[in-house]
Amino acid sequence: MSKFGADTVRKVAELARLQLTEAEVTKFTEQVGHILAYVEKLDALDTAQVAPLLSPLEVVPPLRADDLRPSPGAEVMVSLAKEHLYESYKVPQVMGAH
Amino acid sequence: MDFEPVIGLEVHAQLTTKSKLFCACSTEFNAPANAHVCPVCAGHPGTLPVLNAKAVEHALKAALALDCKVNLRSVFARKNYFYPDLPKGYQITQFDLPICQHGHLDIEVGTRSKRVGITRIHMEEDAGKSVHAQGYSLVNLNRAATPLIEIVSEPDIRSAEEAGAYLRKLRIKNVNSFRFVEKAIDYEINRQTQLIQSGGQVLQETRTYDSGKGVTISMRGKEEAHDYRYFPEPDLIPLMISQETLETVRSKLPELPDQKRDRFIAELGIPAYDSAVITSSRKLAEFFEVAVSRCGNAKAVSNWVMGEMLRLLKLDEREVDDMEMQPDELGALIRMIDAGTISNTIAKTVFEEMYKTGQDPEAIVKEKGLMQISDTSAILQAIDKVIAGNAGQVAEYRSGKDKLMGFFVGQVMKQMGGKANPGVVNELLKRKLGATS
Amino acid sequence: MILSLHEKLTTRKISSVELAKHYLARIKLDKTNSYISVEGNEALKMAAAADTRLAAGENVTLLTGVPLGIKDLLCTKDMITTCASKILADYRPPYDATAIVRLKSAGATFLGKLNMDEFAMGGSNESSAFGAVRNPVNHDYVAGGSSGGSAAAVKAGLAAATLGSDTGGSVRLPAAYTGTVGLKPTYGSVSRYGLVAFASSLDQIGPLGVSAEDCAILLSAIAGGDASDSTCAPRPSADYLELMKDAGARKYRIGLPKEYFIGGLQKEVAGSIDRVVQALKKAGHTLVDISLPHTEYSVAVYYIVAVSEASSNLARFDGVRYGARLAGDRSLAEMYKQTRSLFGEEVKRRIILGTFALSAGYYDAYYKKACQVRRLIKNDFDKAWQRVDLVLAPVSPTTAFKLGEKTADPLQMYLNDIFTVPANLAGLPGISVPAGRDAKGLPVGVQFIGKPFAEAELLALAKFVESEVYSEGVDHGL
Repeated sequence: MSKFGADTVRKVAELARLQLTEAEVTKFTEQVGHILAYVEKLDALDTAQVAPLLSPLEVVPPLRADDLRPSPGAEVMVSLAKEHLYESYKVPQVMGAH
Repeated sequence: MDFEPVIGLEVHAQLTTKSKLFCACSTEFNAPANAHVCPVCAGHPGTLPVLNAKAVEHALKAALALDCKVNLRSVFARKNYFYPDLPKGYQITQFDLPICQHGHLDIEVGTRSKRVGITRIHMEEDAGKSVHAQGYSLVNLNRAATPLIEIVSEPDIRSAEEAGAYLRKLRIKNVNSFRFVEKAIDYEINRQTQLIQSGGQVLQETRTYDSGKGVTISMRGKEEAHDYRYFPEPDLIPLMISQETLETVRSKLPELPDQKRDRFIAELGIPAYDSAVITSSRKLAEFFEVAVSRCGNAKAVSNWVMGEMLRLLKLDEREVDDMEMQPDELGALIRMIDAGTISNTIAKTVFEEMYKTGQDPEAIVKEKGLMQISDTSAILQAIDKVIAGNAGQVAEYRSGKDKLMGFFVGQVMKQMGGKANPGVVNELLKRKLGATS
Repeated sequence: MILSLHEKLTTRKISSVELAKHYLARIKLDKTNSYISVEGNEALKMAAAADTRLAAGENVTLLTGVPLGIKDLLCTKDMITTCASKILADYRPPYDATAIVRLKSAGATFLGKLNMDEFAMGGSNESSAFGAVRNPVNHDYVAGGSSGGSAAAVKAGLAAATLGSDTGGSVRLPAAYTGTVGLKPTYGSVSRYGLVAFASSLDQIGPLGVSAEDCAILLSAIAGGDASDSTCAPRPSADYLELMKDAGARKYRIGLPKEYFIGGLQKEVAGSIDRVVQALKKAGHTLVDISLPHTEYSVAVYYIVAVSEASSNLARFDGVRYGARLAGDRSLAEMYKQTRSLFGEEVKRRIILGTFALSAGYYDAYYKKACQVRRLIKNDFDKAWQRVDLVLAPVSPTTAFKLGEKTADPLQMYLNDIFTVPANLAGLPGISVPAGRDAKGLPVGVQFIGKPFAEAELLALAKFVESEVYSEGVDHGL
């Protein structure tokens, strides 16, 4: 496993849209690095033949029939947003719009 | 140096279900903004996706129609990225194990037949739509969570024409863009060829086609490096499809294009080449069948469709459903010809008028007084005029040049504005001119 | 508690409204910070409706008129639901969680929303945007997390019983720290629809109460298949009060996993286990030494799987459709970053860890690997079930610690979850029941873990401990 450093933290924070102060970058680099070092103990196990377990659920519920249910309505849904206009959610302009 | 374009196509198609892929909101088109939005498709905290069985059925139909190998166990995955029209901050799609793989679609390009491989088809949810104004954008989530399938072809396509044939045969409804795709591909082939020839390198990027300017434009600046961090969707257990379900869906499949092609040849007696062309597009095949049912003359319909109709459409760069003319009307036209109401020559004129205006043939014929004239006295009058005015040819004909009959028929038709019944003209001319020898 | 309240309500010794007022008054004097929001008016309205039902004698359930507290991670329609985060500080969900719908239909009264670690991420309830929860037994100590408020409210008599949620121990741990009973049901037995997701393949809603019977009553009301949750097993709920009676009559083979008893256990924790073992033997149950060999990897697996799923689940918090949004964002990037800067430190830390574990180039080494070891951990239990019916284990290596004692080193806090996360990873039910106090007077809990859908057995054994080994006092001032 490669070094987990401040650059990685900054890159990951960008992926997650988190804005970190330099102090936070330093702190998280240390803490998350520490946790990853601990997690490395998993490498001791040979899992080459092991299928990943994604969910412990064993009984499978049925699929949904193609039935309609009335929606709450634009007013209800949109009014929960801090910024809205003309029954739409309002955001700063999306770049590269086409 | 000669270059060969290598093209693969990824097509997103909406599955026609009443409700969305993961919630019970309506998929109705053109509803007011955010009218069909609920906490689930708006990504509210605590909400969960529940898969629409009908969407699965439709996806399976596509899988079977394209001869794919269905994965009886397929897995949904999250594609994580941030965008205002993506409510959850991830799209539920399929990644490692899609619903089916390894199929094919046979296409006809001119007289050539070609097999295009289908790499995979997977199910996914659509995102919402944004509308852009000065300094802000407005997000409408009506389309969010609409069921889609993505059909990925192998890079087996070699030209814009083949791409067009592939898209038309896929029987996708979004007709306008076929031509844009072909144009975009032609443009790209040119652009890339020139780039390579001048020593440049083709970049891996997303480009968009500007139909107004007829060029493709790079979207490189507007796209960030995406790390989608795909992982299996923990809110949905793997989709298990039983052999039974598969067979039930198979039995419900509508007639596939190749089956239709064969049926037209066998039952309607049209030539193989014509059938292949007609069934290469669902709209065209539908048009054809309706016209045939109206007049009962498949060969005639085939001739009109393959001849005049496709010629005019190509000239105008339009598709079958862009036309005003209805298949019923073509059928009616053919009935009129078969009944002798109008001549073939006149029919061509009527057809062009039908194509231009969408009027039905009866109305056109009436309006323009184009009914075929079989009235012997009228024809005889015209014949007399022609004989009188072409003494030389009459003499030649009478002395053995029977090929001149065509000339006389033409002259009589001209006299009668093309409306004379050719059969009657022929007969009467023969009588009037007498035997050649 | 619930049964006695039910008796009082149905015999008119007290009305639902009086009962609600009783608890609301106690909440006003609360020093533990168990509640984030108290819905006084709403509570009285619900109580009044319950009284109508009780008067008519129609449609009365064990929960009709019973005042409950709800962890603020569950969506309650039009009632503020914060998940203890600034990002949702004034969020009113447009819908009820399924568990809430079921409790409302049973006629329960809701007193308010309970404090917790932000987005359920924490083991001490010190990561709430609304302040830490203090342990009612000793206010200098943590109540445990993430359902700290749910546990403290039960102990301090601020609700008859409560709902919490458990992803890695978040019901069982605070139950143990506060001397209450807390149940984590089998994964898939209670609908997660409306439970704000932390880790989708691990989360379960769980009841907390002063007794196993209270937990049974709550579970009966909320369990069962749900068409809105594809991860909820399509089976009906059951009368767990009845089932635990039957289960209580049977004798079991109970496993003691040796990996849970390696040194480092606080002596009173080990001592409580011993007392429970003795009582079980005396009652005719068989105690068997077993091995769950991959126990030591549980925390590592959990802190990759859970945080990875969480990093994705929390991506929806962008301020666009609901929740906080700071005014004046001039670009999309600013909008996202400003909104998400409202996350607390623990949440940010886990998002970073989870995003990294899923990122290109690291997915196989971290997320996939962790999922593979998760299967090994589940296999350990599957093997154990061939020899035993249930497992007896500690809940935590120690009793509650002082506020601020473990906040410096996140990993130290995470290691506290060593005995609770395995049940979540394997999808198994687990219950924590009080089994004593330590020298400082802090509660000690013991844990039973069962096969899938063995809640009745767990509840029965918890009741056994209550009656045969140790009983915490109950004082709700009634």
